[in-house]
Amino acid sequence: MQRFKTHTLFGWGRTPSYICKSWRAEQICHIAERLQQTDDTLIARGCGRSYGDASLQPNGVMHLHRMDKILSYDKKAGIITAQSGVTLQDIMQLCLSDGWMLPVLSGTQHVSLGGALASNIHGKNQYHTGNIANHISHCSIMLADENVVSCSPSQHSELFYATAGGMGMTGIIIDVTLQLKRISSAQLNVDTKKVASLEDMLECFEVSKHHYEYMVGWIDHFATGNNLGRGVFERANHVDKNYNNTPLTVAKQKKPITIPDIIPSFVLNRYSMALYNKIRFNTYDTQWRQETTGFERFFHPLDNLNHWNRLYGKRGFYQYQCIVPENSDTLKNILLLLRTIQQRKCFSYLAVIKYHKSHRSMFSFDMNGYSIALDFPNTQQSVALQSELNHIVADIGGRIYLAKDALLERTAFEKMYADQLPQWKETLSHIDPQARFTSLMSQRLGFKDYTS
Amino acid sequence: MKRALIIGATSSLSVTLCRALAKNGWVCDLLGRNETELTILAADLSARFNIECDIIIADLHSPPPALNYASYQSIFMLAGVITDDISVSMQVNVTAPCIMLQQAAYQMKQRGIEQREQCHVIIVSSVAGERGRASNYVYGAAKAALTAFASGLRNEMQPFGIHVLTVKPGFIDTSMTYHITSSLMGKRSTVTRDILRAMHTRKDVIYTPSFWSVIMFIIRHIPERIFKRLSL
Repeated sequence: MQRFKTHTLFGWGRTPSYICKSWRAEQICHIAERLQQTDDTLIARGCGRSYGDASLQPNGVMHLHRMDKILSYDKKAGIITAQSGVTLQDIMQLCLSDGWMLPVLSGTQHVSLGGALASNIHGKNQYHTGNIANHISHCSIMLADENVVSCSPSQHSELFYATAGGMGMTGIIIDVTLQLKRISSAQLNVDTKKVASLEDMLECFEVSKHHYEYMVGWIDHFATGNNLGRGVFERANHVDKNYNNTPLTVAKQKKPITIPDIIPSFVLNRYSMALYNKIRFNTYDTQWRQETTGFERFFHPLDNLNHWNRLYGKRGFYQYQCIVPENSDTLKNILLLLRTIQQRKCFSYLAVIKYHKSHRSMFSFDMNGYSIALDFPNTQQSVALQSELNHIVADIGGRIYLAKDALLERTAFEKMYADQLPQWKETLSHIDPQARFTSLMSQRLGFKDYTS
Repeated sequence: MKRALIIGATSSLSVTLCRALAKNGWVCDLLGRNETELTILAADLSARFNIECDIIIADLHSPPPALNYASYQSIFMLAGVITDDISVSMQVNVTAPCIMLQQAAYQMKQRGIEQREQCHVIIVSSVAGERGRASNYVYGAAKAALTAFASGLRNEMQPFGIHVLTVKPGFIDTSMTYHITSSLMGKRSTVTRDILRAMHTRKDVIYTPSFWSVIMFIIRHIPERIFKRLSL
């Protein structure tokens, strides 16, 4: 019989935390055993990198990080099949020197493949390559009846599309097959420049989007008045060396520093954050500056700090990522969000802006527009502020990224995802009619309230 | 290419151990009873390290198969089960492993001296075999038998230059111990590293993680009069 333990669990933001019953699968049969053992609800959890309550469920959390086998790797075609607990880092370490990389990389590599599919993650090249599900040729999922079903865009396609971005609601993802991307070099030519206003920032995105594979902006949102929205813009391409079957040189990874769990909550306050933002802003030039950087420094700067979430102390933090649709009001709407945050005197240590293009999806954080990602310390003001922001985002036709969310209310959520939600819920009601797979997030947002 | 046979290859420890061995240039043949999982592990080793591992399906709940061990330089005995059924415990933890180990060792003895000196027999026993405790003495008794067998085998193989290593892990974070919350819980990677190091330095007996040698030294020396009253 499979054993479980009861312990406190939380997402990467360390809030909320709940006492959950945990099982850990090391083999496929362990998952089936748990499904037979009790009728309680269950949610899959990989590396625990979703920020809020997406992988929490007091009745049952199935940890999958030990389902970490790579099932096949075709070096010639760049096709990899791996179990859902394999991390993006595992895959990158394996394939980078062969001239392949993951077509989509999130801000951290410590994400499981199953979690990546369930959140349908995106990277700095979202406008170029779409979300990760666009590169997945098939995956197998264990449904509530313990059957493992292989699905793809052509076979059991409803199940496939409901799983991509489906927050684990269809079942337990067992393995995933994806097409890697051919790269010429593991190094990147990165152009950076500081921009004086948000308008300039959006202008940079607009002029760079056809010639650069990766773009990201960082906003110093302590700046007020005319400076509002100033920041730094980065765009990058891989260094162009024709790939000729010789292994790429991959810089050795630096050993990350581990943040101890003793940082008091006041360390990241508005003054230290303002100072950091100011210094950072002033280190850049107003002219384009080009440099060649290693792959990890560009894609995963925060992976140099293990447990960086501890910087916010025991109280934790919220990550807030919303997308503002691309239309004639985009600039105005982003400024509205930034002003609202400043008026409420809540500040974010890092504010990141990215450009998105819609790709085909059933239910995902996927539309044309600009996404803004912010960190807020867990305080009463920031919780109130996020509720206010959610309403603004819903009103302007935007969306919240569920993998980062912990606070969204159901009415706002239903408004944001109005065009995708009914079809997705309808599909879920066929796939999991008993609602065996639920998380605290799905209960909060009513993913499985089929009747309403 | 050096070849190792991993008996009990679907255990949690086997995954990290096989990967570490493969990284050091070993090919690992995998013996276990769950064909699906053995195939998955073999595929993982092939994808990550480009080695072809064979799988052997065998269930140690019944008499073990007679194998040809000629191609192996190392035998790793990881098989084991925690159960209150005494006959199952003895069969899986003692009888079947000992039969296989003896066969393997006898076949190794037939080789030339140079080949013999490359041979390792690694037997994973447990600290539970050092002293019987109310909570798990069925398992403990079986592991005690295995430890004694390993010691005898080492004694017998000594003149032939064959290295026999007894590994006594404490609590290790495996599927057997997932429900236990203990500050003494060791990582699989620590055990793996210790085993590889002990192979290299031809140690006889190791505790892993190493602090268990201190704990077990104390536990071994508690007089039975006192020990019987303790709940450890």
